[in-house]
Amino acid sequence: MSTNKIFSHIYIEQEAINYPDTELILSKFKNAQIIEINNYKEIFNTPRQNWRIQKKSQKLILAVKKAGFLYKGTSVAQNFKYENFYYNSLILNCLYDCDYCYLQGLYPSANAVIFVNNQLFQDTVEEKLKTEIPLYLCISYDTDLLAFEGTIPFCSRWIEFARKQKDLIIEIRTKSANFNTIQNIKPTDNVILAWTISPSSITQEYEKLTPSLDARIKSINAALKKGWKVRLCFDPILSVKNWESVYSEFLDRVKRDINLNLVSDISLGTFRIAKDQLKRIKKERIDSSILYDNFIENNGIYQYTTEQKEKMENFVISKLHSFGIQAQQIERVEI
Amino acid sequence: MIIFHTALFVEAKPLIEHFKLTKDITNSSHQIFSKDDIFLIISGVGKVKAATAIGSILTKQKANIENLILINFGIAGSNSENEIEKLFLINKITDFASQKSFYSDQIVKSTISEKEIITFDKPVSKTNLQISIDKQIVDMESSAVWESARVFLSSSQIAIFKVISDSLESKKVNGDYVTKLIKKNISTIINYAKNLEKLLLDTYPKCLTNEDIIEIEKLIKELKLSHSEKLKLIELSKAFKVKNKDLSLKSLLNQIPINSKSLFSILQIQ
Ligand code: SF4
Repeated sequence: MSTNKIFSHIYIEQEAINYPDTELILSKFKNAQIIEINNYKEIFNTPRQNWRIQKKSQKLILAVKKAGFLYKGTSVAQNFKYENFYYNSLILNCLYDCDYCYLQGLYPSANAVIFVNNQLFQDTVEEKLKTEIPLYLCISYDTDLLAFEGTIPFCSRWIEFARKQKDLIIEIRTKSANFNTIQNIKPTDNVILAWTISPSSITQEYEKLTPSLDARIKSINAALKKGWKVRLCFDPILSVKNWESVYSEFLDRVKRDINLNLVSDISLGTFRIAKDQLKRIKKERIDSSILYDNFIENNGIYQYTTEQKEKMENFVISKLHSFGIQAQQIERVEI
Repeated sequence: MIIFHTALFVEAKPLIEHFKLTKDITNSSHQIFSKDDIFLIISGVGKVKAATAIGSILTKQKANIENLILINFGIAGSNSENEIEKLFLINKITDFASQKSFYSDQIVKSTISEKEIITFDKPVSKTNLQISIDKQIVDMESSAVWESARVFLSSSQIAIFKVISDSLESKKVNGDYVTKLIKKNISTIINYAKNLEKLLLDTYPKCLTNEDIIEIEKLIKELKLSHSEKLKLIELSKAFKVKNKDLSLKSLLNQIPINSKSLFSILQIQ
């Protein structure tokens, strides 16, 4: 039994129909069934949707965002100690399907929403820059933005936007191997391309639909070669069986294949997730062993026991030190 | 489990014959037919009757609610002569009275053409139609089926099929003709229903087997566990099964000296 392919159906808010981005996206999915909707929430936010089933044939929703163009960051995310830490949600949901992804517990639907009034997001940032500088902004927050670059070139647009805003620092976090989609853009110092990488065995087992570690490393090296600021993210570090040897081999591989002297910094953190989200994810993802560890609760966040967390993070950090990475280049997530 | 719903007996007839369904004579409020895991309910025409029938059969199946799918099929009208006798899978349902719209998930791949439908409270014809209809077809039950089923089911568990029987002329449609139209398409509908059911069951495999559940219930009784302890035991048992796919929960539980403290700590370290 087969399922419809990804974006077989595109739902478009009536208000979104005439936006140029709608036209651009539709030109890439000529065979999609188009269905008009009044408001994206009437399809995206309805209760009792089966996340896992929807993920088998993800649909696309094109909408016009009305409010919430910029959010203040929370402490579960990393911020490299920037006081004015913000994120925005240009796209809701992701093309990938990581077992541990909090989006599964956050949104009732697995379908992707692209907001076609992207300009308003940039206007809001410009406004904020009048009062809060430097402003640190994550634009790949509730999605993997670079993975969508072939569908909608938001990364390219935001890089060009950042180039004109000297007090803005943008982080584009990704697991994609899509550097080729932005390779012709001149690097700019205030944009950080942040690649999340994990041991191959973890990528294969728990980061479904993501590009392989090899492919990501190729993209990272291509970005470094072009002179981009690159951050490596070892996050989440998972307490899998034999984690010490799994991460040890992985870090050796990273050292061997990436010129770490060129990497701007490294961020790391062990698996953590909001309590309510984990509860919802476990209902959908019944068979993922990483969701069944003996977590402890800390301010509504589930994480490994302090001892386990310390042990794992210290293990990775000391390995990085042995590679000559300085302490100030390493950011550890604090809840 | 698959529950089929139609408004009319003449629509249901080909399904009854296909599965050799037998009538449940104990049910006086609705005509219900079944065989094994296949159920059919016939509601009568209109939103109220459809909603009541769906509500009643799904309430009875509450214990199986996560593992069942609901398929509505029947005839509908179209403005286009060319669509007569064609089968459509519905992707958007609009209730004309409330102007609310609902969307089905469309996950299963099929070659059936898709359509939007508008559900009216009264029969409509070209002469009394108050709106212009170009891409939609019309009926008198779909929105009620959807709304009432969604109280119990996820959007992935419901599918609606319509065969076009008339082009909104006010003539009455002959019953035998309706049966013939449905009969022509019934195997396509059944095929889709089975695929949808398989998708549901494959996507959400049961974590605990029936044997595990019997074992857990035995322990809950023997240890007189409180409600929160019971939930904890179920959660730990699931964790054990997910992490130790090849091991038997029963043999583990049988090794444990029977007291709740040791039970929880042993399950925790597995
Ligand atoms: S790449 Fe990130 S956003 Fe996408 S599924 Fe994985 S964890 Fe979620």
